[in-house]
Formats: sequence, structure tokens, C-alpha cells
Amino acid sequence: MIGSQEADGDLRDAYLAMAARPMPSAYVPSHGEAPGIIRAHSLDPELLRRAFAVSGSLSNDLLPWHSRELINSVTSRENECFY
Amino acid sequence: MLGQTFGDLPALDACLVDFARTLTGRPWAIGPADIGRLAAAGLPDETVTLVIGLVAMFNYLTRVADGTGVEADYGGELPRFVYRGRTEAVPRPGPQEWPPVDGPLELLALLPGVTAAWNRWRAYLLDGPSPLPEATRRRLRAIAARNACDSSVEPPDPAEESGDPVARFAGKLSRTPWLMAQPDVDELRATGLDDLAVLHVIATVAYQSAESRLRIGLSALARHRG
Repeated sequence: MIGSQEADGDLRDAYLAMAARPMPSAYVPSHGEAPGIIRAHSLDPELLRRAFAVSGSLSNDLLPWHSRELINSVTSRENECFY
Repeated sequence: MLGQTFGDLPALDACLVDFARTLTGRPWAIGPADIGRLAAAGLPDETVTLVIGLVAMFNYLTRVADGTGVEADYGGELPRFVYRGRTEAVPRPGPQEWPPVDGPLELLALLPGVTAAWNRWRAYLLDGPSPLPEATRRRLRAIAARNACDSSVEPPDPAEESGDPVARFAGKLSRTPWLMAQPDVDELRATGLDDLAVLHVIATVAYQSAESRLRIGLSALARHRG
């Protein structure tokens, strides 16, 4: 994985775009780097952009934030995943 | 919330929990009746589509997290995750019990912006420039779709799966992602795949795990709509 401090070019731009998206404070890592799930895509900035464009498009107010978080949390729980 | 029971929830939230659990862990069991319960709880078709999309997306993200070994790095005060020690997924039924998956993804159009973004993501992973040969991508998709009980994808050839470390990786990541560990990635690398190719194996399996659940959910919605 390539962190945001080491990134340049295309990856740096992708990290900057992700950092500009709104994120609940509870999910902002204390280490100051991009969240691990974003860095996991760092070897392919185009994949990073396209995958998170979908997750961004699903941040839709048809459901309140707490309901969307409930769905996400249950899905993670069913997959035994902390994320 | 992670690691906790969900307790007594309002009716709509209880419906959302049941639906997300089923579409994730027992996708073959999703049908029009499940959509009917969401509708009865007050959700219009657009919102049901959003629910299906969220479940699908988190089936991608959790597999990428587990496949790449992402560590928990939330800065806020969240409950500690408690692993329940499961070592196997719920047994899958035979294909004769899989739900019909006949619908294209057109119902996604109920959510403006999502269809274009999803199709761009799909095109890049499945048809775009890739470190993986087309045949490998097709095999990864077939394995992930089978483990989601998605009847719209041609099943994998058992002869191609036998003894193939890439197929073994795909099977484990799609079926029991929480059991993924460093030796699984090491085994992939030992086949000659570099880190970018390993990422694409993980992302392709994770993507298909998401798309299969999206298709199963949207097909159930289409049947509910009549």
C-alpha cells in the first residue's frame, strides 16, 4: 500500500479527492493517513476512484444516515468484518 | 454497534437488519416477500433499491478489507469488534433452489447517479486493462457468483478449479472472507502474481460478490413490482 504522504501524480490526486469528501468524525483515523480501506486500493488509483464513486453515489438521503449506517454495520457483522 | 446484538429496534430498522443479514449471508433466500416486508414498513421502490445497493457495496468493501489485511483504524469511539469464531458459511443449497436472477441492473436507475458510477466501476474491473487474463477474471467471477447462489453467471468448470491456488483464494474470499489471512495472499504471490495482480484478484472477487447480491436483490424487487 502507498500512503498519502508518499503518493504522487494520479494517486495523490485520488487521495486529495477522497479527503475532500465528507466523513463522519468517528471514521477519521487518528494516524492522519487516508483510511486503510482507501489505501488498500492505492496500487490502482483508477480503481480507487471508480469504486468509491459508487459508495459516494449511495450516500443518498432517501434513507437517514443512521439507517444507512445500520445496513452497512449489519452487512459487516454478517461477514464477521470490523469494517 | 459492531460486536453487539441489535436488541429491540423500531420496526423499520428491524426490517433493514433482517434484509441486510439475509442478502449477505443467505442470498438465495431473498425473494419478493422480503421486498414486500420493506415496502410494508414504508419504503418506496427507490429506497429499497438503495438498501440493496448499500448491502451490495459493503459486501465489496468488507472483502477488500479482509483480502488486503486492512487494520481497524477508526479514530472515534466505536465499540470493539467481537469476532464470533465462525469457521464456515451457511451451507449453500443446490442450484435448483437458487432464486431467478433475470433482471439486468436497470432498476438501479431509480437512484440517479448510481447506475453510471456502478457501470464505470464494473467496466474497469471486468473489461478494462487488467493485470489478469480475461479467462482468470471470468473464473474468479464464476466462483464468487456461485458462492452467492447467483444463477445468472455460468458456473465454474470444476476441472479448472481443482488444485488452482487462485480458485482456492477466490472461493475462500467469496464464501468466508473473515478467514482470510496472510498465507492466502502468500500463496497467490507464489503463483507469480505481483501486488497489483493480487489487488485485482481481490477486487474482482469482491466486486462479483457485490454484483451478485445486487442482481438477486433487484430481481426480487422486479418480481415484487410485477
